[in-house]
Amino acid sequence: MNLDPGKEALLHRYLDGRLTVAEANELAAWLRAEPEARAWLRELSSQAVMLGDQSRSRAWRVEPFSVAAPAPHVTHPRFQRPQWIALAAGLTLLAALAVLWRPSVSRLEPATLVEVEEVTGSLSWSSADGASRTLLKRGARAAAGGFEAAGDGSMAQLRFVDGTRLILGGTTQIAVSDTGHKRVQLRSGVLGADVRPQPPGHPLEIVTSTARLEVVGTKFSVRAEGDVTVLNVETGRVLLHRLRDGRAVEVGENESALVSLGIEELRPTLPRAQPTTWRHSFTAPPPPYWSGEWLPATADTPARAKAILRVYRNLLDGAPAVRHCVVALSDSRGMSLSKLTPASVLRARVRTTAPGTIWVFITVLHANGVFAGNFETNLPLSPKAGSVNQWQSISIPVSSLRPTLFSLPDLPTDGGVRQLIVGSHEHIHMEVAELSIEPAAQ
Amino acid sequence: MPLPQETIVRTLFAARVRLSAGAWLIVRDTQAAEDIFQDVCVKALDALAKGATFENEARLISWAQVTTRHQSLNWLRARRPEVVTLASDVLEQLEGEWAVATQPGESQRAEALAECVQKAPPESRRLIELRYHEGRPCEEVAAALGCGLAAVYQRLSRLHRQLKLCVERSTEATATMPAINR
Repeated sequence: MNLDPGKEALLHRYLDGRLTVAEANELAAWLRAEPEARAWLRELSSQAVMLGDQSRSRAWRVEPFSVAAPAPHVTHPRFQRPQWIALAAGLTLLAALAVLWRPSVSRLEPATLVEVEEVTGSLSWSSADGASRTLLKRGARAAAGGFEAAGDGSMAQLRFVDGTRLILGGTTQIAVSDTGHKRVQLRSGVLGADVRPQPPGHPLEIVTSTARLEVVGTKFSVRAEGDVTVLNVETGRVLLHRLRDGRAVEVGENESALVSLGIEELRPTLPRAQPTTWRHSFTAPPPPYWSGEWLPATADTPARAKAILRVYRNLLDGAPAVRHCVVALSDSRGMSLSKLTPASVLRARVRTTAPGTIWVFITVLHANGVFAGNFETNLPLSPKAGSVNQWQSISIPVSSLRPTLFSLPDLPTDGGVRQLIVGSHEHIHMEVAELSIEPAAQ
Repeated sequence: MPLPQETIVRTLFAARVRLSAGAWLIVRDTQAAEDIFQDVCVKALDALAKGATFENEARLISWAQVTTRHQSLNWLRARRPEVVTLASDVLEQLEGEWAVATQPGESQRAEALAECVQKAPPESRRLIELRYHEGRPCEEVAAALGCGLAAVYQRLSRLHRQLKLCVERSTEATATMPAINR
């Protein structure tokens, strides 16, 4: 390819956003006349996009753990904005990177660090330098690097050689390494851990943007969202360091602790009593980390949330899937939306413009915040004649939901709902006017 | 027979780099290009829901290219109105050629490119870091590298040629590799 160097410089000045109108006209004339120049511009553009993809993959690679200051806040997607679970990231991150993924584990050798014991939804791995990216399936072995579970209903369980387990619940990004002691960087999301006794002087470390945890051997969960870190310990003890000022506190069995830029206090607390009833009727815009398009009440229609399109990618078969969803999520400080009891019932008041299949999905946490599984059901919604576009109430006993994870098949007796999704497979313009979780009427 | 939703999503994702590149050469911002691609996917599904049909993959891609172009121009007008863009007939010409260009699979090229970047000398990787990972304008890249703007353009040209060659060699080698254990 022999291109006029002067014209090629013009091309780079264009891509740099520095051309005058006259120069742009000159460049356009050259491009019209030279097929090779056009081919080169297409090549440059493709390379730029793929290099940009690599950049985003590096955004959550393994990084040094000498974090002294809080990392930039994670911004929640706007309520109305379509979210991509592939991604999810954060949801856009994965969408950008899927082309780099291969359903192969051959690149993960030789330094296997963890094995994927369980995965639902999408779990991807990237090498520490961000150069390689692979979609992981159950049984895959992975070296040190970044792991990303993507999707509202995703879950992944990783096991180290010593039996220590990490559970990524929902859209969660971590980076894992082991240079004599295990280190996990939790960029965002919820991470449960069952840590086997570690060698003396070499505790497992978990670092978030605001806190560092030292763990010798215990069971706990930690959630990191923006500038908030919430630790819930089930058994044993965890030493929690606040990065901002270096203060530390020991958090014991069944205790919780919160680190936030806006909160001075740092002390362990007992879990708050969770209500067994939760209800939301969309009378005001929902929190920004929920999903759906909020619509205010009108004279004859209650306030509601309209399902928004979400493209889930790389689910079990690697294919993209589409759902139209409204997602309710507990905040980063709350343990769950509502405590579950065996008699709990999920209710939703919905309307659609056509018959379809309604998908109801919950993510459940133990009382101490440890991930306890995902449960779902699909309901055919067949409005009676003349009732299309009329509000209908659906009631689903939680006991009728089926688990999505083999390893977590049972609803915990002490569980709470972290996330509730009501969605539709088809685009049937679903709107949700009310969501609730409450004990069944006696 | 009109394309079903699943095929539409698969087809668009298979052409992601091509469509995003079409956006990038207008907006010249990789993140914005990615956002525009996503918006186009959602628009396609919205259009389907509203009764539009795509008869085949070629028509879908053609629609996506035009929509991507419009979205990109809107983005540029809204955010960087001072930046000039190429004439619309040139953009259309590029789109048309993109549609018929024969290239290996996008994931294969992306993976090969990542490997080529790893093999590139440190100064080239630094250039990539500054220009594409950090998204800096070339003037800042020049300042960071301690050279002139023209030198940055020359280095970028050289780098992209080397990467192109490297990717072609890598993908050709893969294509001609004999099947083993099948």
